[in-house]
Amino acid sequence: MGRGGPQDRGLDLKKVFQIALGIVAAVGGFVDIGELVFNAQAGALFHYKLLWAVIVGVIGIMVFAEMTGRVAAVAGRPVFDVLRMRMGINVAIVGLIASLAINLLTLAAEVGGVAIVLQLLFDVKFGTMLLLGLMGLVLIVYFVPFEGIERIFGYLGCALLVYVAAAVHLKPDWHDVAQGFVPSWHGSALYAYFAVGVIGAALVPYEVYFYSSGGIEDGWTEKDLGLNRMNTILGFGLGGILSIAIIMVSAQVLGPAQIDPSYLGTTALGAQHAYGETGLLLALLGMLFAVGGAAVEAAFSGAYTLAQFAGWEWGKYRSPSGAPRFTLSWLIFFALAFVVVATGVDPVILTEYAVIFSVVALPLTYLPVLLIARDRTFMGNHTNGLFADVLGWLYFVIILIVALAAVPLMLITQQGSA
Amino acid sequence: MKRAAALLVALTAALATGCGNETNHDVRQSIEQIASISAEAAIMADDLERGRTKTTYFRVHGEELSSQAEHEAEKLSDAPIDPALHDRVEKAIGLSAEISGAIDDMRVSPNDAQQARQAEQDLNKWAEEARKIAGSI
Repeated sequence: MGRGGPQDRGLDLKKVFQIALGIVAAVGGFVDIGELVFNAQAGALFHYKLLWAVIVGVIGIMVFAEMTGRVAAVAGRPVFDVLRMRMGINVAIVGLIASLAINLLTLAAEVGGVAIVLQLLFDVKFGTMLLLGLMGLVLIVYFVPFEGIERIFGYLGCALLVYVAAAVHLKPDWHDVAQGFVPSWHGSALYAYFAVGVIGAALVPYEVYFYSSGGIEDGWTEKDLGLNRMNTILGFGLGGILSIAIIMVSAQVLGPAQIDPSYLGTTALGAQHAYGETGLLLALLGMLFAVGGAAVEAAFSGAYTLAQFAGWEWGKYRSPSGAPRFTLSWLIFFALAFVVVATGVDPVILTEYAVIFSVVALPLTYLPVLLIARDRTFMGNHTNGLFADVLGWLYFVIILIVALAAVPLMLITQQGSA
Repeated sequence: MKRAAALLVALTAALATGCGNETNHDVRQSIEQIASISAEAAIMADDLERGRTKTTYFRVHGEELSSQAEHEAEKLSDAPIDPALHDRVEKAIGLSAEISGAIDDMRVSPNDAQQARQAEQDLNKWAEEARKIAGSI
């Protein structure tokens, strides 16, 4: 999308396999605990009629993630750095507070989600699974290098591809499916709420905070611009395909029975109905790593923004003693998330709030990205091309509309239950 | 300006009162939830009967559904209800207890295929009954 030099055109085969960052960012962002339930609700209530909203969201996140990855590779700056630089300290403080609050809500929801999936797998008390799940996540994040974390959560989260197989296996009416990709107006606030939720969920800011900082963790330079592009297209494309598949399975299994999904277990039922116990186990395994990946993403995203704002040493590529405050930050985030979930709050409700409030903060995240990606002072020959610029501004308008509509729609529809 | 203020007040009032029909709306919503739980449990019972599920999943998710059915019944029982709806609400509370009981029985003995088959039929029937009640409100 940017004006790449010849060096970013040639991709060696090895790099084809280096798309774990995009996959973990997208799988975590698109199919976290909230989206697993939200997409299932969208499919059950509106069948295929919201598939277009997934496409709108996927293209949007591809456009902006590509820009943030390009800025990280060329200017060596992650998103929050860019925000502080372009929008000033006051806006950065607002962004920091909003980001930390949303990240904490999201992390608490995802940690709760990991506990729920473990409970569905092992039938042990929620409190025990919460503690074990949290310890597992902390140990993986502490001891496994960044590249390993990307691969564990990104690739194992792909077990959710069982939904893609199930969506086809259940023999949908392809004509109806195709019609679902054409934007339509249903004329109800509930439909608008779900459309805004599906688009907004694809664009949640923690994805790009994580993605751009992850690009720096992976040591991206201008030579990696092709890899960045491939990560955004394949990784986020995969996230979109998974969202579409979950909506389709839900439309075929839950919709006809007029089931209103409110639990992760209900989303898993679709895969079980198609492939029995094997389908169920693959769905639960995929959920475990997708939701776990989202937890890691949210914890790191919080620690990245805090460290980048305060000017601390940051990065998983440094040893804990090399970036002690960064390490302490993500550890504290996990501990706070544990406390939040231990109060008994429903993780699914928590993450739906997190998504809607994230949507409100979207313009603050994406405007500075758009401005710096087209700034020749920082980007040299790698500024936005015409195509990226047009798409960027078009999506900024969409983001503004979505941000303005999110909270009123949430109130009018009583968070989608009316 | 006055028109905008009036619109804002009307919108706020509508949001606060759920368009002036909060009780009936909540009652209907609770009964729809009961129908949804019953329909979902019927699918789970079908998979259980055919040995297409995992016991841990069935027990844990079944408990969530059973508890939710009880919770909806409690909400119906506690809500101040339009006297005209009394019989229908009582019927829905009864259905909720049946649904919750059927799910719990299957959770206790998940290997009993015959029980699961019977439960599937009952749960589908109760889902339909609950839908009819909700539709009449």
